[in-house]
Amino acid sequence: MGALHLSHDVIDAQLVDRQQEKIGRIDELLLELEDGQPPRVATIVIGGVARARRVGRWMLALHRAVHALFGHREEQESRVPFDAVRRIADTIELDVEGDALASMRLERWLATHIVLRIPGGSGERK
Amino acid sequence: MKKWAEVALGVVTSIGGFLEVGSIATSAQGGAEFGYQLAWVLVLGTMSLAILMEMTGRLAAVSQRTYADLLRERFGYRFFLLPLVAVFVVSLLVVISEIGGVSIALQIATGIDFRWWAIPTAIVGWFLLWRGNFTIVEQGTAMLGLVAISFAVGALKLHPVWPTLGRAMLPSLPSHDRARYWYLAVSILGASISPYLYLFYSAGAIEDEWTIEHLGVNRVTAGMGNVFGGGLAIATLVTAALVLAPREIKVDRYEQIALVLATPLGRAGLVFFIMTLFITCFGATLEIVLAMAYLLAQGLGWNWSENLKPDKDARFATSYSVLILLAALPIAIGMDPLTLTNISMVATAASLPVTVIPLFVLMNDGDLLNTHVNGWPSNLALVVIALLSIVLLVAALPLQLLGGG
Amino acid sequence: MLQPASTRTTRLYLALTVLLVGGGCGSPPPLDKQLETLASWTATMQLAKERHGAGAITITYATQLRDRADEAFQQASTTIGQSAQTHSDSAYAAAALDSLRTAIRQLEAEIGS
Repeated sequence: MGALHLSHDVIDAQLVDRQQEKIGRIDELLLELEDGQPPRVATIVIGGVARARRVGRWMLALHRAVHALFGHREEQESRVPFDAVRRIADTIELDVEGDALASMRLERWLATHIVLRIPGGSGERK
Repeated sequence: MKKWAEVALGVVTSIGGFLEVGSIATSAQGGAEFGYQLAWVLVLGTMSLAILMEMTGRLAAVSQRTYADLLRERFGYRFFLLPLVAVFVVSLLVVISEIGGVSIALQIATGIDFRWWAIPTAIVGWFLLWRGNFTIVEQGTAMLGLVAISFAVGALKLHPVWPTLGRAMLPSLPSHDRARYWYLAVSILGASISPYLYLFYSAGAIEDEWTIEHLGVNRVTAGMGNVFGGGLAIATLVTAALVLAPREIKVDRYEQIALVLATPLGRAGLVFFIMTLFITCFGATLEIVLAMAYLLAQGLGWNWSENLKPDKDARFATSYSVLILLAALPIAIGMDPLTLTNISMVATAASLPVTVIPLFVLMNDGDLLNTHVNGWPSNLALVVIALLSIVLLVAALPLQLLGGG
Repeated sequence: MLQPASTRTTRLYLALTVLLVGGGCGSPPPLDKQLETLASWTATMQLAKERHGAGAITITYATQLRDRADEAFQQASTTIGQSAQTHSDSAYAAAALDSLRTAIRQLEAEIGS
């Protein structure tokens, strides 16, 4: 196979975990710079902070302000080594457990604290 | 056989989807103030919507991706924010208006003031979204929405002058109140071409597991369904043109619109009007909050499906829950539903460029659509719709101020 | 490239808004608009009366139409005086208000409230 276009095919692509569950999108890619080595794509960043950073400083400030309002101190973003990529197609599969990612904290929190307390929130297909 | 069932169902869905608070209100206002003259706007709106739905449906069936998904991936997060924010703002306005429509229907039926109905409507709607699946939302409201055919019966019973109506299918300039005429034209277009409709349709193609095999179903659904739906909107305009215009009744309040069916059809007409307003607005409420949750979830990469239990897609389920309850508040505090409807239809018209223009890029992407990319007639049509959407964006605010009163 | 164009549009819209809202606020709608509205409600009352007589509409619904017409009447009676500048304007305004009042009463008599 030939080359992939980072901005066309990789950045913003849908990510799925080992179980094929959707775990966000590639919100940012980091290059690693080491002395004497050529730079290489090393890290996938998932999370609202990374997205806000892409829009601009004002968005980042807004993002931080909103999170401060809810009392979050640590930034809820995940950094996954690019080596975890298993497959690149319509979606990109990462060799990770979605539930373990910091960027999935809100999903987990909503599921356990809100959704499961409302009748009909859990079970098999509707 | 199964194919035909799907086609029939698709057509029914589009009929139910087309007629809702916006098209009922704006068509009635247009008919009351300008007779048949604005019928051409409904033809233009219906054709544009049919073309956009066919394309987003084809895109989803072939690429197995929704429009919102591709808007994010192919255009990047910075650009995606534009349609996300624009569609969110106008859809919220529209869904508030739909809840207003449901509440007015209940008020006309019971005499209990509309603002008391907003929160109960939202709670029942939320319950259906929480417990029901995509099929229930899509087909349930569509089947019940067939009562809207009563508008066609009403229009026929009033014996429209066919040649005059036929001539109104072609654009003409108004003889009086020019600003008002173009204001209503923009409102009618906003009511016909709603971004939530094609975002919902494109997500629906994935929910219903469409494949390349469904391209025929897609074409018939988008085409025929919208022809019927647009036909019912024209019927609404005709009833208003024949009941309200000769008496010089303008539609200032929602309550006046029920007279358009109570005049040709008597007591049954009043009942059908209430049922149509209730069911179509309720169905639209569910579809719009789902469309907004789809847009958010697909754009940000969350798990999403109306067929999953809420704990499997907690952020998606929380989104539609919060949105539907939020949308009930303005009606509950007594904002006038008709004013809100008019504002939201014009805002919808103004929001169209950000969702129409990117479609041109995607529909010509061979990586996504292989041999099913747009041919030149489709591209020409899409360019015309895109130009129309830019005109609407520029004209919307000045017309709201000059002709909105 | 997109940025300056959209900023320009925003500024244009802002200017337009200030101009039109500033110019339009504070003064009631022109007399002919108000007369049209009153005539529209008068006709609505007459149609409602006729439809109720034919058994087509419920008392519940007719009462709501009456209430809306009443609101329109109240609103017009406070603002129409400011819009009527000449003697004949005032006469038109009074006649229009009077017709609506009569039409509302006739509907009330029809529905027995």
